[in-house]
Amino acid sequence: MEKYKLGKVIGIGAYGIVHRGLNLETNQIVAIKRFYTFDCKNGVPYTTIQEISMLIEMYHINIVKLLDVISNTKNEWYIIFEYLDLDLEKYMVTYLKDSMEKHTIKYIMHQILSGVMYCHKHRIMHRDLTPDKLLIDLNASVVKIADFGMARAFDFPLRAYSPEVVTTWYRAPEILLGSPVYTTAVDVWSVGCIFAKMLTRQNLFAGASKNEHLRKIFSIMGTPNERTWPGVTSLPYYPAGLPEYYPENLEEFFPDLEPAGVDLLSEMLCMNPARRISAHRALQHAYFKKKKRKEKKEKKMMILDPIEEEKEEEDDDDP
Amino acid sequence: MEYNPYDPLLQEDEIRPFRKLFTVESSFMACEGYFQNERTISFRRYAVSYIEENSKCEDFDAFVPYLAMNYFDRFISMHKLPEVISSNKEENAILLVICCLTIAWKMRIRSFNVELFLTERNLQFNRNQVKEMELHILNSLRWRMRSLTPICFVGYFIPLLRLPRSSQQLNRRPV
Repeated sequence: MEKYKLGKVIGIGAYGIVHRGLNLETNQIVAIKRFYTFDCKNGVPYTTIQEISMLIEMYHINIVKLLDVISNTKNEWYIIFEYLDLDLEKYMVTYLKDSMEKHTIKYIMHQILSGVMYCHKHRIMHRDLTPDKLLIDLNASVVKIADFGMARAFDFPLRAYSPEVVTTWYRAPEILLGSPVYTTAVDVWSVGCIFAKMLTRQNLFAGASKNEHLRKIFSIMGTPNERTWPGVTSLPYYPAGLPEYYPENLEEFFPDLEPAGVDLLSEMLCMNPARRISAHRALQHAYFKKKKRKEKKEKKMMILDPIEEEKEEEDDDDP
Repeated sequence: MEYNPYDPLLQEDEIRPFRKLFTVESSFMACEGYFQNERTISFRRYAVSYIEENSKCEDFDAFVPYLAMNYFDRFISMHKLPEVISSNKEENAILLVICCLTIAWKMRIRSFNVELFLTERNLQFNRNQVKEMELHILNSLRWRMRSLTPICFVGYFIPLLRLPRSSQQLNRRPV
């Protein structure tokens, strides 16, 4: 750790304490996550070795770069990341003030999905995507996802340590229902919830308890049954005695969202994980296709201006 | 994700992945002059035979000894032997070789069990010593354990050989 200077605490999460820090050799400002972890009866756990060695090789503009790992015999772990001081949670409060920033939302969604797709391609799940894990670099107009793969690398159980610290509102129904296995689809659900939050600045599925949360999801997306989601009724936490809700029309919740956006959102919030849209397919969705030329010039975007203007030209001919 | 030498990390849209592979490959090599170094050459010879001997098992994986040697070469060519067992230099050296091997196993196989590995081979190390040495190796190699080696290029060269179609099918897990 001689290489780094530990600064003030910038966050406390399920993983441990996050400090601001300084790389004394390069003067780069970094985030230092401090962990105390796991029993090592099998030496260093294979998940930690496989996942960290994977993360250290990953390079994607929309993924927060893992720069260094330092561990000592006292079982203290320091993971050094790129540092950005703004996250989507704060950004929404400060910059996304009204629904005018449709472009910005689309642009942010595209970046989130690009980062998610890159990780999923390498079979890395996030499992706990929330707006405060999405860091924003205002100067470069870039969104970066933090903590990809960390849940598995450090074998953190997917439960809230306390409701104040970890929010479960972005968590996929299969996790809430206690499904023993889950796939990369859990991240797509979370991105869907984040999409909804950006549009209305409210959590679509906020509930005080897990059951309340599930009831909220069912009341909007419809109560899942064996026909819509084979196997769902035998999941450990499938609640008994809930009314059979019919799916609501999402359009009514998001009156300002274009139809293609509503369609994408409903595909991301598909209850059955096997039928939920993948990040890869979501990026090809009509929502991200350029529509009319005039729209591009319509309004100067607030701070987060697309940098890929040229690339978007290619899509101009699309319907 | 288990280490798969045929699946190096590449960007989706990388048009010429090989340029990137070539630059990355050098960071998974032992430092220059290592193979002429008299001091390490006998230690290396010992490591090769030890790793060969101890990677034998029921479901033998050819990449495990290969990976373990890659870790050994990179480690010993650039770092001093850490003193996990200070009382016995020889034991300490053996532990280093073993831990190169345990890390390689863990990179490839989920069910690898250190305890079982040690008892089956009648090795007197405890799991704390193994963990400590593993950490030394992992930290020293900066956790870059997904080694990019010549095997990663095989898929590229096979089609160039213009072999009949049937023999182009690579056996992805050679035994």
